[in-house]
Amino acid sequence: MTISDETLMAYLDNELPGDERERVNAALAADPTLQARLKRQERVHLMLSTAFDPALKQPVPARIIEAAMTTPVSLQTNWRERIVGLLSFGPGAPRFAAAGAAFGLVLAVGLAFYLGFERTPGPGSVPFAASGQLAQVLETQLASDEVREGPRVGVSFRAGSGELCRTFDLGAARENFAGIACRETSGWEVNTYVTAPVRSSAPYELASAGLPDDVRKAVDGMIAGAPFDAAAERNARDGGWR
Amino acid sequence: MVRSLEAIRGEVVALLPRLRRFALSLTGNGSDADDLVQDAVERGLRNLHKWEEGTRLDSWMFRMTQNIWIDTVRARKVRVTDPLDDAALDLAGADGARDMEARLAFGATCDAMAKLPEEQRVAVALVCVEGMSYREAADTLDVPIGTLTSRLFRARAALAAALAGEGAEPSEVLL
Repeated sequence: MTISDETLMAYLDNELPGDERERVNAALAADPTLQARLKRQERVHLMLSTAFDPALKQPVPARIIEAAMTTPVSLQTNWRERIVGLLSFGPGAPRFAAAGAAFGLVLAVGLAFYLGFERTPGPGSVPFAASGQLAQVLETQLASDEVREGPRVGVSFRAGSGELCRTFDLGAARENFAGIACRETSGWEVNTYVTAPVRSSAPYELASAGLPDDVRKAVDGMIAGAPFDAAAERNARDGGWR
Repeated sequence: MVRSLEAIRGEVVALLPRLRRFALSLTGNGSDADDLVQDAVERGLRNLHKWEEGTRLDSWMFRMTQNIWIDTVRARKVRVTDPLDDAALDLAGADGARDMEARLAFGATCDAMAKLPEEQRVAVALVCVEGMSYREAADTLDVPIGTLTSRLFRARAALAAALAGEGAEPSEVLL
C-alpha cells in the first residue's frame, strides 16, 4: 500500500475523511518507514505551529489597539442606517442592555489589553476590574486637576445601589472611548464603556465635548441625587470612596 | 443580528494577538509585523463596506493582512528581514534564557520561511501557524482548495528540507 506525502500532510492536518484516515492508521501500524516519514513531517509541523506562539502572549502595542478603536469605519448605506437605528433606542430600552454581553466582552478584552488590566472578564461578565493607570486615576484624580494626557475623570456621583461611581475617558487622543467605573470594596469596576469614530460627521458620532450621550444616559439611569460638586468629590476621595 | 460598530471594533481588537502571530510568521520581524497589523486594521476598517456582513470578520482581516503584505513585498522587493534582529528576539524570547531553544527554533523557522515564495509562505502561515482548515485558508485567500493544498505541499517539502539540516539526504526529506 502506498501512502503519498500529500496524504500524510493531510493526515497531519486532520483533513482526511474518516475512511482514508483509517487506511493511513492501518498502514502506519504496519510500516516503520512510513512512521519515519510521518515523524519528519510532524517535526516540521510542530516547529511551524509553535515557533510564532510567543507573539500571542505579548501585549499588543497601544498604537494598534488605538487604530482598531479609532480608525473611521466605512459603511455601506444599509449598514449605516442599521447602525444609526441600533444607536437610537427609544426610552425604556437601555442601550447597554440591548447591545448585550457578547460585544461587551470583546470590548472589555480590548480595554484590558490597552490599559494593562490585571484580569480579563469571563464569558458573560461585562463589568471588569480596572488596574494600572486607569485605576490610579479613578482613585486619586479630581475633576478639577489639569490633565494633559492619559485617562481623566469627569463626573462623580453616588449610584442608587450605594456605590460611588465616576465617569472617565482615555484622554484627548482617545476621546471617543469613555465609560463609568464604580468603587467596589476590591477596587474600581468598569461597568459601562463606549466607543465611536473620532472624526466623523455621521450621526453615530459621540458628543465631541463633555460626556458622550450614551455615558450621560447611563449616569442618569444610575445616579441617586445630584452629581458631586468639587467639595463633595474631594471628601469622597479623602474618605476612600466609601 | 446586525453587529454594532462597537462590536466590530471589539472583534478586531480580540483578533489582534492572532493577527500579530500571523504577521510575524510572514515578516519574520516583530516591528514589521506590528506595522503590517496596524496597516491591516486601518485598511480593514476603512474598507469595511467591502466586507460581506454575515461572513467571518477574522477571515476578512487575515485576507487584508496577507494582501497588504504581498503588495508590500512586490512593491518594495523586500524579503523577510533578518529574523535574528532585536525586535524579532524580543517577540520570540519573552521568557528569557530558558527559551533559548524556542529562540533557535524561531530563527530557524523564520530563515526557512524566508526562502519560500510569498504565496507558499502565506499558505503555511494560515494552515500551520494559524491552524486554519484547508477550506478556511482557501476561502481567506480566495483560491481553489487544490491551489491551497498544492502551495502548502510544496512549501512544506521545502521547509522540511531546510529544517532537516545540511546533512539530510534528499530522499530523507519530503519529495
